[in-house]
Amino acid sequence: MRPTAESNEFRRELVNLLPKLRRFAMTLTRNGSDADDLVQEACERAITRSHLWNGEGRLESWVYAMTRNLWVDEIRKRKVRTGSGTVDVAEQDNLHIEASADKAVYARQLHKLIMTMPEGLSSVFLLVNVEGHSYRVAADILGIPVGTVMSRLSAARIRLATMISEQAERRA
Amino acid sequence: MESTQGLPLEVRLSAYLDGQLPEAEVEEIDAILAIDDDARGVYEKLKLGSEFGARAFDRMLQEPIPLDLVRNIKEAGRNEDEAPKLGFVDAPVVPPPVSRRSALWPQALVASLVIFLAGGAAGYLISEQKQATVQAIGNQFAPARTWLDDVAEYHRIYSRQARHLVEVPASDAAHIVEWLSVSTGVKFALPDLSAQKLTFEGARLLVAGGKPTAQLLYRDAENEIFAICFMQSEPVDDRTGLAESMRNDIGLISWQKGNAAYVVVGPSADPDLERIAEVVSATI
Repeated sequence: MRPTAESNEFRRELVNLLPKLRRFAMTLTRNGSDADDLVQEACERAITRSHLWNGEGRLESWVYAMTRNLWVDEIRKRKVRTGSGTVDVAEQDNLHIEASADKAVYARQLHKLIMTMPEGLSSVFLLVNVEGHSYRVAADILGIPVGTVMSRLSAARIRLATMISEQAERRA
Repeated sequence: MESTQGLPLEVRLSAYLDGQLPEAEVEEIDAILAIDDDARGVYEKLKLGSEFGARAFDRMLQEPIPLDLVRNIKEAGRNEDEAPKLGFVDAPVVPPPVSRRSALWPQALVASLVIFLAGGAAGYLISEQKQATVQAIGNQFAPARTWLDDVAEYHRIYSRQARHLVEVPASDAAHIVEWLSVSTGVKFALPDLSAQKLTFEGARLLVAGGKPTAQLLYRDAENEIFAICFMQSEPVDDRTGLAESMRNDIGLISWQKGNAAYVVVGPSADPDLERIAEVVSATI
């Protein structure tokens, strides 16, 4: 099967999107290996379904939503296989914030410090604060209500500010 | 615009920060901030977290993309007989490795501490100290610019120069080899990429990473421009592996061999870029 020019253009856009897609996947999986697997699977699915992409809006929103759905599926499979695994944040009533400031101190780089935030916080922060998606679009991508987007974004900002302040105070 | 009536103050202030409040609520929050010190404190904290997080996430975009990931996207579905390469395998879940203590992080903290102390001694406002801290840490971790950034920018400019693509044309091939070998200190042979349907157009001498850098330019049948760039570097015993990175729509595959660093540059979505790099690394 030879790809059409349209298909090539779609692949080109996907490749250009890779850095951002991988960053988004990192907020879901919070480890590089899973993030790369997730991105690969999402891209393969996007290519096989590229005929469904209507070209309206941002391609990344479409691929992000696909990526998030794949991750939810993967978490469910892991729970079945191992009887454990991360519980999808969208299914939790209350977020369990397990990362301590101490853990953050030992993070090798700033982005690893951010990765200590729960999935639900970092994904929302990335989509709205960093990439400029509206609350509504972020909610659609993550499959959560707009109100939850707003509360998680606020919690993420407070948490990040607390992290940086605690580090400075600890050294003072 | 989303209504935040009835939500906690920090959520409302966060939405205010994003400019996603209805006009009536904006006026209400303005009034609160004008008289409530606690509310202003929360608002400053939200801004601090917003700026700190944005810098850290921006840095993630500079990380190299695994070569396999790019290759699989370019090749996915091209061969009907080929089984799809699914990302996840049905293997037991292994917990991620524990992060080690960073040598850089304490330096960032020291830098931020110095700024904090200086700010405090001078009687600066708390909010100003926080801003300075974000700035210091952000600068500390700002992505280091490498010669590949320079190469990508040159490529973006020169690949569009239809009439003035090269400095010395391909017809002066012997001169190009002599000139660039002397200028860069790297002995090389002009790679013949005709099997990859690339025509040698000529060469330029650039400055990348502060060093003289050779740029050999090729054109494909679709008028896309590819380049091979190299410069002198710290010697390595064996040829390093090919590493792919991207700068927007430009793909770069780099390696080191002997006393030189090399990179093949072209459109990031071109599925042949890696194969071209393999040929160049074996023949240059």
